[in-house]
Amino acid sequence: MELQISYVNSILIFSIFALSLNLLLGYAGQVSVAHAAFGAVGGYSVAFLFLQHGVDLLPGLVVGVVLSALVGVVVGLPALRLSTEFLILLTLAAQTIILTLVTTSSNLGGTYGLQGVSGLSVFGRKLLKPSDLLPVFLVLAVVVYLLVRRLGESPYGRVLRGIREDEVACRSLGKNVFTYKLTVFGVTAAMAGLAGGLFVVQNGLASPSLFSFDQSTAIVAMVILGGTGNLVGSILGATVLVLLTPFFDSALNFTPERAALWRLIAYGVVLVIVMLVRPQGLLPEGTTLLRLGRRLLARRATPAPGSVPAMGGVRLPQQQVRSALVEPGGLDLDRDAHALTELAHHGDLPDTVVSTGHRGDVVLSVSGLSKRFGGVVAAEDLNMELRQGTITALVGPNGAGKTTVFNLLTGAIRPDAGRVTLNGQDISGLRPDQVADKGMVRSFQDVRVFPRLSALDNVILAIQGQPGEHVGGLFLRPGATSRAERDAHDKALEWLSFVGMDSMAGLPAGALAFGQQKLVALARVLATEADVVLLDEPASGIDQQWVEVMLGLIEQLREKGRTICIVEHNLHDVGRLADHTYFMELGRITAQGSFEELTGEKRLAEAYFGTA
Amino acid sequence: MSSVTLDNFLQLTVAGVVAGSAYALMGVAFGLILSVTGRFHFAFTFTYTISAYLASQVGESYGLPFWLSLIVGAVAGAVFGVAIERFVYRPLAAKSGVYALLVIFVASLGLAIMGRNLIALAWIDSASKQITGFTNAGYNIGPVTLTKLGIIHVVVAWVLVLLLGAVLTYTGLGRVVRAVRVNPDMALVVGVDPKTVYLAVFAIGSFMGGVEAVLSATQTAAQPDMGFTPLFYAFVVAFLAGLGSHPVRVGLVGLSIGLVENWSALFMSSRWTSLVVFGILFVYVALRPVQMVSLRRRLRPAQA
Amino acid sequence: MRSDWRRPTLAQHEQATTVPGGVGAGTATQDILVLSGVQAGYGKKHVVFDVDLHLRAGEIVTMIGHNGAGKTTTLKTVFGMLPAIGGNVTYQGEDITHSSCRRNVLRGMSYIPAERFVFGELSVLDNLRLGALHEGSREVRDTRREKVHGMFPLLRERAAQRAGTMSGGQQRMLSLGLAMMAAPKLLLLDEPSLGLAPALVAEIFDGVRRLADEEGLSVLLLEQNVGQALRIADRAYVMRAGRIILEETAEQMRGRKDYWDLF
Repeated sequence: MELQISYVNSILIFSIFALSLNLLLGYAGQVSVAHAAFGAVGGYSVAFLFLQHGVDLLPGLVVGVVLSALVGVVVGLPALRLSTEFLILLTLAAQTIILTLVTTSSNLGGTYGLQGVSGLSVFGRKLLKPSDLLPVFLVLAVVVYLLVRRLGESPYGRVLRGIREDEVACRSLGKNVFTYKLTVFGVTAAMAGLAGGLFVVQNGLASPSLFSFDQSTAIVAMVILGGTGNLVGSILGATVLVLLTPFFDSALNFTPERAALWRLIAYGVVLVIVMLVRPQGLLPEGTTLLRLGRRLLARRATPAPGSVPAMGGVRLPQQQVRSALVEPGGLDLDRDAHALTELAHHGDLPDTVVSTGHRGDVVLSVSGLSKRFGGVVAAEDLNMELRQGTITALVGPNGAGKTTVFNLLTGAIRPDAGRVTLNGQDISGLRPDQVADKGMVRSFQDVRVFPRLSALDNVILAIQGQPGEHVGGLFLRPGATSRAERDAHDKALEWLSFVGMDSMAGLPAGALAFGQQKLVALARVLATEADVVLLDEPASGIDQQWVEVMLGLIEQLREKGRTICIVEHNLHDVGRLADHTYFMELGRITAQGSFEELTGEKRLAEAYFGTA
Repeated sequence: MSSVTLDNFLQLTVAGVVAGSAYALMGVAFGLILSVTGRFHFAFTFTYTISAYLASQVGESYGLPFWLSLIVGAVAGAVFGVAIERFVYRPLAAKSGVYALLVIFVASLGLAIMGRNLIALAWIDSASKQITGFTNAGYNIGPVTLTKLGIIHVVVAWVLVLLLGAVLTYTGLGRVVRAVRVNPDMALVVGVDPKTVYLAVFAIGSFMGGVEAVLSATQTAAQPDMGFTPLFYAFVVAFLAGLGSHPVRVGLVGLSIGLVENWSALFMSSRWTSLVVFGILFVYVALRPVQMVSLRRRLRPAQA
Repeated sequence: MRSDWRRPTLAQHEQATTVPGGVGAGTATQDILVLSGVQAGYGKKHVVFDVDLHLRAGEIVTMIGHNGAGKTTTLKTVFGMLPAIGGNVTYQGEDITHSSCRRNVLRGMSYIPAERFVFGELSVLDNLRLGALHEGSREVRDTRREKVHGMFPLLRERAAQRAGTMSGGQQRMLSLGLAMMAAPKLLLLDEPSLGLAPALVAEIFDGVRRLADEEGLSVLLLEQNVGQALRIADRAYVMRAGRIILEETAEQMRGRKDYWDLF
């Protein structure tokens, strides 16, 4: 009996490991192979404090958790701007360094570790047998599960997933990606430290072999098997991989040595096969115990006519999702473009915050903006104004620097000189997320939707001022968070309906046709309710019918008093939309005026089309 | 910790040269694979280890001379490397789109674990495998001792590094490999099939790794775990030198790492010296300027 | 070898029409390249919706249009770098719609991209050698190299220089030399004027025209720089938002007062 219970204990410990890694790897998309090392920090802390100072389990765990969190932050800091392969390298280095430290430190017991970690007590009760440990482990595992679920399946978790999908796009919606990443590293390391402490207690010793690179890999395997972004999956993965031990030991009757090897082979096989067959793991993203239960129950009963949207994930009524076109991209263009055009003309623009200014007021003013890359002049002495309720266009031949202007305005690139003033505030030198906060957002030429998030989630992320997107609001103001979430949900649907994509709300954005993605991206940008909207080639890469829809929507926005600036190469479209046009050549604005004025000038024609 | 004496310094220098040459070979081999194909080939540990085991096995079973066992082992490693690229990485890259880098890394990790434990299983009755047919010898030159194996190790490593450099610079194959590495789209334009080049690169890289494995096993015997530490050192060397650098440059970085690691034994216990190496890696990755071309680009030829 | 008969006089052209696929077949020269109903894009992103065009042997045809109109996508699809989503591409009578780049190179097609069109870290000589990759005979390779050096003496002088360290114009020249090393029959040239100073642009275009005349090349030239392109082209297609909206002879197009309404 005790043996079986000790397996349950192992499952609980590794569930904690896997759940915490899932938050980092599955939700936030940060690849880390250092998880066991974080556990080592916690585990050794508990062991050391107990053996040297007789510290009990709970206080020992607290210290372990805090230390692990600190280590997590130290590792997370350099990780902030790293791409995947370098992140792997960094966490690998961290794992090796930490393990080497514990293996070679004389007061940490060297290769054999710290032995005799048994007889710790909790609230006065000594923990001696597995059945003593079980309630403690269970409670802590449940706490971790609830914590991870609250973080992952919430507005906060949605931001994490946005970071995973596309950091740049996430930043452009006003999210401070660095803070999120750092926090997640700290939190997951802390939870790993907790698991490490429990692991040490279960084994009665703290040794390097418990926290080796192999162990980190095993935890990765559990997360991958269960599925990234999937909490039940992590528990399932932990269960399966832990139970491999008794399976190989007793069921297949291997010698202990062989069993150990086969178990490890199984981990490797799991990783390879899952990648080959189903990289997203066993269960779909967003599976929590609640949803799994509901789904299982729903299978027995008749499908409910509607379902309550769960926190952080939108579960639309079944009919609505089914009525959405089954084959994304398999659109009947004629029929649907017509329907969409109808919508674009008759759809209601959601009530936005009414700006206090009048049409024609200068909302954005740029003076002397310059940027060089090495010897190349990307922008020189740019002076521009964007007025409320107008559409301003930036045109120019290839290499004129139009996209650079957007990058400079939104803070993606730092200017060498010049000032950018938005609604009277100087925003020069601010980061993209800060600029978005101040009221200027941009769309991207290559769209950059969050492919594995639903169209609705894509748009909800853009809605500003959600308390649930920050840890403080998430835990301390649950009521406000829920209310804000419901409001955001409704508003996002309104914006999707404005662009005609509400029937696609539940579909993953990556599954939509390119034109549909552009519309979702437009809804996303508009949902920020920013004063100034910069659209980078809104009509490119889509067929004429979609272009019509897009242009119509942009004109509607102008009617409602929004300030819009577009970069476009299709001069036909520019002529139709632009109230004011800036002509750029080689990084300089060489002319401005109405489109008719500019096309009348011979010199500009020569600059654009070349001379014979 | 050794005391800081000239004798110790010289002996550590010798040790550093030998170790550094090994790191050089590994760094060049791994760097070649990664820079040309973009695959984060963690399973390098497997082709490395199987080379040593097979060399030992054929030497034992067929009484082959040392050099022949070495070649058999290295060739076997090359075969496995090519097979992994052809049957695992290529299909994965084809269906994973933008996620290819991560998917291939995870699969590679899985292969590494599988491989290591399958080897342990296959040779479960042998505690460790020796490479037969080689008798070492020591030479005392003044205060330092050189070993025959150490000299061979250094010479072979550098011969291979220089050979690769020559092949890349002067031969048609080398030109094509460099073309694919430098500009995969343009390589397509001149009619190169990158897939074939990848196979060649995996063969070369795995062969070089295999040679290093056999030499290392001649010194300390083959063990299932033997591939991991050398691979980690290969990471350090390859990334510090910069992916796509000339083999000689990568080699020199490897040599420097070996020297720095051994010299630090003058100031600290040798148990801590590997920390120095990984500390360098950590600091480098943390502080390096914003990345140039990410590996992602390599895995998507012919895109907009 | 000059072959004037391969460059049809303007008198032989039919009236240009504004319907895609205008100039009909049945003239003395053969079509070396025909596109019909071609649709193309990058995965989900459909960029080219319907392109019909044809190129006669020995002609220089230019495709002009705004950035993002789909010119490069069309070219890449012809060459085989992108899979065609729909339609057909025929080369010398053979259907090559789904051919690989390598096959097309062997058939005598050369493609020069708009950006990153040389191997920057390799020497000029290595670049040229790579151009003749598929030519088996060493003699032939050497002869071609001599010829290319004759066309562009600069490349002989700078043989050992790293291509990326040369100026933009010199790299462009190298890209032309690289393409010529394969002795192509059809040259697909993407925005050769991109990033070049105006003085150099004229020189490059002259070089292209000269090559075409001397080698009997057919050229499909994409350009935003309408003026230069029309200088050397025989016919022009205008592409906008993924479709061909106009086909005219170069002379007719040159006669237009401005091009704002085409883009």
